[in-house]
Parts: sequence; C-alpha cells; structure tokens
Amino acid sequence: MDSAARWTARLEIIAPLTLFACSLWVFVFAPTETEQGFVQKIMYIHVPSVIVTYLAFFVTFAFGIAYLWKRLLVFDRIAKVSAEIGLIFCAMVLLSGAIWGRPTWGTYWVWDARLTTTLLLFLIFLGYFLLRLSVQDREKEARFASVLGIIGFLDIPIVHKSVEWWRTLHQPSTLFKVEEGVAKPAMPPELLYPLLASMFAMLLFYGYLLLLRWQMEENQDQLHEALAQEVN
Amino acid sequence: MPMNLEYVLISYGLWVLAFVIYIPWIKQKRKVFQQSLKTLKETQRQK
Repeated sequence: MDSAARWTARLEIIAPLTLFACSLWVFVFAPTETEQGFVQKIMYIHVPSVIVTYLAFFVTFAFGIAYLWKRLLVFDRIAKVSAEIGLIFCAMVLLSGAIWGRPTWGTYWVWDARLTTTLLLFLIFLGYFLLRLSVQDREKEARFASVLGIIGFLDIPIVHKSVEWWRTLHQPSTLFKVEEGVAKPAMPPELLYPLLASMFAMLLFYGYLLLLRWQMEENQDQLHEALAQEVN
Repeated sequence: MPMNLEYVLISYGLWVLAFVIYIPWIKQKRKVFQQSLKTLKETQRQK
C-alpha cells in the first residue's frame, strides 16, 4: 500500500468521525443564537464549505501555475481534482446559502454582490470542466485548464471583499470584525469554537476527498498511457 | 420542535446526500480503472 492509499484509509475514518463529533457539538452543546434562532445552525455547514471552496480553488490556482512552469502532468492532476471538489463545495455554499436566506431574508436568492460573485465563481469552474471535456489532447487540456484555473481563482478576492466594496444584503465577515483598526471575533466564543472545529473537520474531509479522487485520476491516466502503448 | 427546523434539515441533508453519492462513485470508478489496468498489464505480459 503506498502512502497516498494509507493516508486515504486513515482519513476515511478520521474525517467522518470528526464531522460527526462537530455535529454533536453544534446540535447538542452549542447554544442557539438569539436573533436567528435554530436556523443559524446552517452557518456551521455554510462557512466551512466556503473555506474549503477557497482552499480547493487556491490549490487549483497554485498547481496551475506549477504546471505551466514545469509541465508535469502530476501538477495538472492535482489542480483538476481540487477544482472538482471545490466545485461541489461551491454548489453546497450556494445551496445552503439560498436555504438559509429564505427564513432570514425572506428570499432564496437576490442579485446581491456576494451571491452573484459566488455564482460567477461556480460558473467559471463549471466552464473549466467543460473546457477539459472539449479538448482531446492531454497536454493541451492541461495548459488551457491551468490558465482558466488561474483566472477563475482571481474571482475569490472579489467574492471575499464584495461585502465591503458594495452594499449587500449578505452579512459582513462571519469570523472577524475590525473595530478601531483591531480585528476581533465577530461572535461569542460559544458559537465561534464549534465553527472553528467544523472548519477543521471540513478541511480534513477535503484532504480525504483530494487523496481519494487523486488516486482515481492517477489510475485513469495510467490506463490511458497503457492503452496508448498497446495501440502503438 | 425548533422553528425553521426544515431549513436546517434540508441544508445538512443535501450536503450529506452529495457526498453519499460522490464518494461511492469515485471508489467505483477507481476500482474499474485499477482492474482494467491490471488486466491490460497481464495481457501485455502474456504477449
């Protein structure tokens, strides 16, 4: 068993257990927020999904640059796999946000800066996979996708800053607020700690998915190479 | 019963559902690729 397979096996147990423990903390021990009530529990799935989306697309961005620089397919493989996981998490962000919006804002969707830029991010990375599907040559696919992955990532600072740059219905930063030039937690510790724990659990889960999906991608590339040798 | 429970259940339910579908799908595809690769290598060795 290679080290990737060993870590996948370990994380397959650790990540779901950590997520389960966090859910217990959130639903059994964490207090209910006074303004929003029980529906605020969605925050513990929405915000960590945002963090994973940012990280996943950052990995795509970084390995896209690495591929363009070194032209090693292993970098493109990581970029592709991370983008796929990022796309799923981005869909979860949009869905959980819309569901949370209904009882709190009275609507599932508004063309608010944060929501619109997040939808744009989702569409860019959906395009990233359509681009990959439309190119037959593996090297060309990797080159084009790397460029789009880098461009797509540039939307993330806009998504993040949108609540400060424009007047939006979406609340400002969930984790920290700046008061008199000093960053302070934007919520009491009894709500903040389970949120931080959920973020950690979700990052572990991302690590598991990345390893699992990367092994599949590697096997697929090996199979294509072997088939190409067979034909030649 | 807590107010707006249905919204919380749908959010968490969708999240779980997404990965309950995604993870077995990936595992299945990985298994198919591994088996195909193994078969192909055995065929090449026999030649």
